[in-house]
Amino acid sequence: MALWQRWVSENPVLRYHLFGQTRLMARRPLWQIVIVTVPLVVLYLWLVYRVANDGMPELVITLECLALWLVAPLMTHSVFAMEFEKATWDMLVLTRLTAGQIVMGKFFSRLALLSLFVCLFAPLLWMAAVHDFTAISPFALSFWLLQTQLVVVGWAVLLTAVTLWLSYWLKRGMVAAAVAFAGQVFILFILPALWVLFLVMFYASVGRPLDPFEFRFGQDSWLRYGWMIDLRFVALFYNPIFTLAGLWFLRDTPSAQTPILWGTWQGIVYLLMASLFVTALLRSVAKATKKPL
Amino acid sequence: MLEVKGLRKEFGQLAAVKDLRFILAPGDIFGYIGPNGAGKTTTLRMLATLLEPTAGTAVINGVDIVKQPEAARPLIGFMPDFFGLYEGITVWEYLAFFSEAYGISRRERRQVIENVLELTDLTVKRDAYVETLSRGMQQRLCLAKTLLHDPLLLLLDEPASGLDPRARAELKELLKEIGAMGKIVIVSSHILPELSDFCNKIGIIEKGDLLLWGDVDDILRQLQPSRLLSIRCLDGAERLAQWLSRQPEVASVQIANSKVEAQFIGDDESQAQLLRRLITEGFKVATFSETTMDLEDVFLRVTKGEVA
Repeated sequence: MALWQRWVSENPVLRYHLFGQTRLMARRPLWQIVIVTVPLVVLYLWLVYRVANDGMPELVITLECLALWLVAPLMTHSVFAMEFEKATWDMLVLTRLTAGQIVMGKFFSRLALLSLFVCLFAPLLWMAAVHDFTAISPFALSFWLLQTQLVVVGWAVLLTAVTLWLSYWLKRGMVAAAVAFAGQVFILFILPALWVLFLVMFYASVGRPLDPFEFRFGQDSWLRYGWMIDLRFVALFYNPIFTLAGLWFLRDTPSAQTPILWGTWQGIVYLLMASLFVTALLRSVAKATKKPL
Repeated sequence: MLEVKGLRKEFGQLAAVKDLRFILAPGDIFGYIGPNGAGKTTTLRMLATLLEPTAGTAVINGVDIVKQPEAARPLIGFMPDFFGLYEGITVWEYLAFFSEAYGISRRERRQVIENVLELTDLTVKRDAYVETLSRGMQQRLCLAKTLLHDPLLLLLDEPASGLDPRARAELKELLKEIGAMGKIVIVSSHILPELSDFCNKIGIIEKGDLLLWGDVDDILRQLQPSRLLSIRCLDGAERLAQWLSRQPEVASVQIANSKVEAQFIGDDESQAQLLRRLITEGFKVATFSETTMDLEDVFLRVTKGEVA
């Protein structure tokens, strides 16, 4: 059986997490469903109306980030933990499922749900950008849109992978969710703030100006890649909010003056880190259950 | 055939299971008895390949569970004492999920599910959501799931715990049926009447040590070399006790209430002759019965009430 069949099309774990659990959420009293869905639908329709009339891509990006980055840990925190909490893990281990089918089934089911949110927001962002970014070429606009989505989705995928990993190791859904959210708040807000404070104080003490993009106007072209490995600003350059802000402000700057691969590189790094976490989880599950990959 | 060879599990300094050795053949229903904390669940989890033994192994039909756990798993069905069910799906979908997970082909799947539903008497509940089932029904569903891939060895950890008397009786019948299908069934329990009806072999574990194991009848015979006869006569117990104490097959006599209890050394034939002689002697025998030892007596005699 091909890997694609084993992990996706012939994987009962993926199907259960995609349909069984979703149906469980839908099997609630009608009033509960109405209370949750009606405000969301109204908000979305209001957003469509505003975007059609006023553009406002910054609002769409903010809402997309909020939705994806909040939803990713929320829908992933219990995916492994529920197996331990409900004592179904042993039953799963004794089947002929491979470690890959178990881990990738759970991971892909979350990515599929995540992609629903992307499908809701990406067209809106495109509409808003077309409305507002009249000064840049359609090619530059499309490229900006792709880079933005790569950063937002890449970070959400990384969050999903990390939360899945936490869910397996911590074995308690609520603890995994709490750690994932706390970690996200630390990396997105607290760490950059402390980092900048430290850098400002350091540069003030040595009497040099602080310019994170000093490589931008470097004589040698390779210096324009320097930001990728500049450890002084690693907490800022690899912060998705900072990355999105950079993409926003640099959108109509001539490419010769922008850091090369800004946005694209961060998105790739997030996806690479996500794959590292998933691979580590895959190996852990295979080792613990003595199952083939 | 299941051969357990010196299975041992240590948790730090604590030896939870010490060098277990026993052999079971297809059709055997093995009652694994022991107090709480004796090492029953640890043994079953090791046999199910869920826990790695510190030493020793077990071989099922030539497959070593330690060296080839992935090859052994299709031969094993394990029902833990505390289990959960996937919610949000129906009984049929639940079994379809596991039949696919056990690698049963799409062509056979429907028939296999129908068979286990029929065996566990859950056909009428096939469209019910699993979370709406009663505890007894969920137990049966878990058993149905365990039987899907037709395992040779069935490990049932406290299967009747939490069930009402009717559900227990139904489970007993079901286990008898499964045993008759030629499977090796290991049922752990500390509730002895649960096991006495349908187990042909028992093992008693205490503090990690398998104190004894074997055929139920053999064990009873070993532990009870003499028969205990209980006789009540209308003539009075004193005269009967005196007469019995003079008989060569009677080892000792004791009066309990209005009955006389005699330790009788002899077979069924000599027991029948004793009854005939009693009547010939003119005793008005109202009751004449043999008090046999049950699993509870065996358990109490063998164990000391210690836990690991």
